Amino acid sequence: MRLVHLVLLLAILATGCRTNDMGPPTPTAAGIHPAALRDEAAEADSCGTGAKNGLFAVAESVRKEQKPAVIPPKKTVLCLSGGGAYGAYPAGVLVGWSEAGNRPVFDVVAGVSTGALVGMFAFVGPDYDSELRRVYTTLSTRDIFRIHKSIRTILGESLADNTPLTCLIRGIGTPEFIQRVATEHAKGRRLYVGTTELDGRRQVVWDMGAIASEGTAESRELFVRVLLASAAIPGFFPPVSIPIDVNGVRYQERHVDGAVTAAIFFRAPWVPLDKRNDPVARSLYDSDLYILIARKLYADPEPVKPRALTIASTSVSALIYTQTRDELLKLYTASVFTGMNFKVSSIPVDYPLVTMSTQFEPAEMGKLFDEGRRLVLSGAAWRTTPPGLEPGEQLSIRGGSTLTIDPKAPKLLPPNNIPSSRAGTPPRAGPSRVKRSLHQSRSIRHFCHSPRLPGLNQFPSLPRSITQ
Amino acid sequence: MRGFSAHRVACLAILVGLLSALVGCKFLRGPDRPTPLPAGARPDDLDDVDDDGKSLDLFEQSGSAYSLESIGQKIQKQKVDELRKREAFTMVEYPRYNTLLLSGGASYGAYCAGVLCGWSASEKKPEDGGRPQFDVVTGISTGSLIAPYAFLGKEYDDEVRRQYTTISNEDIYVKRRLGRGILAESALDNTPLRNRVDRTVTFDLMAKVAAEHKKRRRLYVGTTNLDTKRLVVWDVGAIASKGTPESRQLIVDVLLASAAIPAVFPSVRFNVLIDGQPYEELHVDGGVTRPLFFRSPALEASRYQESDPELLAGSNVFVLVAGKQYADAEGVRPRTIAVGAAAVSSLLYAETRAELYRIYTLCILTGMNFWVSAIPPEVTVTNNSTNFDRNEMRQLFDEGYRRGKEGSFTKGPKGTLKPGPAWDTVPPELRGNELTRARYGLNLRVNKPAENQKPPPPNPGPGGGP
Repeated sequence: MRLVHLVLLLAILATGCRTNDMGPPTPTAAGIHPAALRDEAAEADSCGTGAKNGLFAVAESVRKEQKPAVIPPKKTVLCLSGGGAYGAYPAGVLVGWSEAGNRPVFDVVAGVSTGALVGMFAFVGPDYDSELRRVYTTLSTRDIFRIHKSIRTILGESLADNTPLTCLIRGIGTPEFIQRVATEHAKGRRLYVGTTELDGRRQVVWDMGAIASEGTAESRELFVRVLLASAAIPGFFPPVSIPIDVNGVRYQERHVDGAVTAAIFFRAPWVPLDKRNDPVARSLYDSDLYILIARKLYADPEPVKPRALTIASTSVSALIYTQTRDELLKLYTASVFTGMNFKVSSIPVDYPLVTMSTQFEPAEMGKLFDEGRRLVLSGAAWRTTPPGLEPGEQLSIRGGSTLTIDPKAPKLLPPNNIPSSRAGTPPRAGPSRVKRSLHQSRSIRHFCHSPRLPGLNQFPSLPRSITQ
Repeated sequence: MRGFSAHRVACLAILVGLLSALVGCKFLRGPDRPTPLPAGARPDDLDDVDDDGKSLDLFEQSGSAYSLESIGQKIQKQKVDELRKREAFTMVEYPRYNTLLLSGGASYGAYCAGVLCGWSASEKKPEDGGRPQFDVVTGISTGSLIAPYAFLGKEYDDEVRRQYTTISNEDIYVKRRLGRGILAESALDNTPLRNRVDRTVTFDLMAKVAAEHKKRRRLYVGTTNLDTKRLVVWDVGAIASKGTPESRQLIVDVLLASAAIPAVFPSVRFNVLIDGQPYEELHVDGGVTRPLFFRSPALEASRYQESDPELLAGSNVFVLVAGKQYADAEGVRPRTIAVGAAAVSSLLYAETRAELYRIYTLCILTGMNFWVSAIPPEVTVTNNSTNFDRNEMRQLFDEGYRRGKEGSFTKGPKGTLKPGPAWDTVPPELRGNELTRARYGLNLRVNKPAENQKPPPPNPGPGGGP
């Protein structure tokens, strides 16, 4: 039985490389942007949600109606999404923002996954910008994880071993750093991190400042574990065990990536207890809500091969993008109903992403970091509309299978910029994605045998109980 | 959960998990694990002992500065008044339009089918809270298979009942031989389902759908284009209106594609003509991009203006969710596969909740009434919606039927509807005991919501309490 499964596994890996070019090409392989495909008769017939910009206009008028008699003091909330190595983008935006000299002191920072890490630096302030830049532009895959080599892949809890990431987070979360978080917490500022409790399948929001304020060795350990859990891509990194006491009885929870339950989340700024009933103190009218998305709003279109594994992976990827957009719309409506100013920044649609979000390559991350920095410095980083309203984002509606191309629609990225070698006519016969990832894992294996970075060796290694 | 290698891993996990489930191999699934929760407690019963309201959820109901419900009521009143004035109606009739949204959820669709049939069986007039004729029906996945019947009306209830209470796995798929399942584009072969759908989409059914389409009623089904990773909405009424064998085939393909769970069932190929050139598109389950979706009613062209979303004020949006709003807590085995699969399932539940929230806020902005019905948390279902077990589907159907018949709607003041226990007016995550609480440490307590903490009478949420 065991052998059968191993063979199956190998078969799955191997079949990813097979090509299948029967029949006519797909529109994406032919370079047609999804938004360019139109069925004008069906579109004319369909009323959409009342009206495209009409609804936006209604939302904006509702926002104005929230205006209170007394304008409350302005507050600033920063929400950060997950996105692995793409976290270089929000990191770049934050650093560029400091350089521009107008980065606010955030009253609340709420982060998930990579966003939790970036958010932590954003929370303590611009004097940690150089550290933020270092983490997102100089670290490579071997500083984050190693692929398990053996049968442990399937029989263990995860494919990769994230001990290097644990050491990295431990290195950042020094007692001095955690003390800084506690100091900021005492001023009424809040740092929240989201994780997912695996068994309960619920989001858990951790008040990191409150944890830091405890000031004990246990609370520092919890601080580190929460950060690690928030970034624990399920199946890829091991879930993080967190012991909890419920009504005095000890239980063990296991937490994974917060993005599994909420790609982005919002928490309201803290209001002193004695002012909780004061509408002015609680009002968020005209406060700023900044959202940093560590990916594009819409996945890059790319031809998908009709193989079970490829289809499954594409679907999970599509699901993550959908969830991010849905959460973004949630935050947009929250901003409308409270009168907050909604500002979101994500990787631009035309930016050529050539690596995957789990590939930590300093050169690519550096480019992404610079893109974020450049955009915020040029003032082009923020949009105020929710997804679905800009060109190229409309829903496609069909009354048949005969379509036309809208010449005004955006163009697809040239095939060699599509982050896959499966584009219509690749410039050269590069290795397929699966081959590439195998190749990558080989190179990771190579690094496993090479001495670790001296910087990482100085941190005590994690007790086994933490990752198990 | 991001990046392609991570997805690949997750999917690998699902695939191998699926296969190991098929061959009943415990070896890959790992040992059983109990849930780390006190007996009888649910994850949202846990509170931090230090929680004195330190952290604020935005739309907290008690003492909240922002009550979404009151904003919604204000907007609705304002819009209805505007409409009355402008259209010189002495009385705008409630409800103006009825929209039905059917979500995906494979075998859990039996619940939605049950609610619809039960609602018909209550034999009330629509104005008294009986089942109305829906102006728009949208369906995703399993919902798209119910949608045509829900669209055509009560006379198809028997067919809906038959479809969801007499089938089992072999009516939906056959297992491929193991090696082939891996090499092909899906683990299972859904030819039986294709044959079933092919038999149900008759020219007679198409003619009926086309006749209703002419009356400005709309039937929409959503699929996901794999390459572009975007939702494609198909106007099934418009396709049916063509009445050709090709359009019949297209409808069969659209329904199948909408229910093609990726990698489990084969994706569906569409031969599209773009500016006269043939292309091929690969479509899978619409649930990949939207668990359910809203389309506006087709308003008469003379009255429809781009800037007139007011026209929807006072309409009803009924959402039937084929599943629970929160996944049941379950001990996840410490194996890559189990963890990956649990994560994908959590993601699907989270996506459905986010979509419900989005439709709810859309309703508030346009002044529509939002009603949602989902499988209540106390009903026991197996955590596997792709297992079409006849008995379990029957139980779900009966549960839906009972709730739909006894718990739908009664007549409210001024021609409005008063929801029964089957329907909720608030999406998940906004109900009192579902707000996300922050944790300040590791010292928690089980906090069973007291009776008075339940949502107030207008929202007798089915998911309101344990």
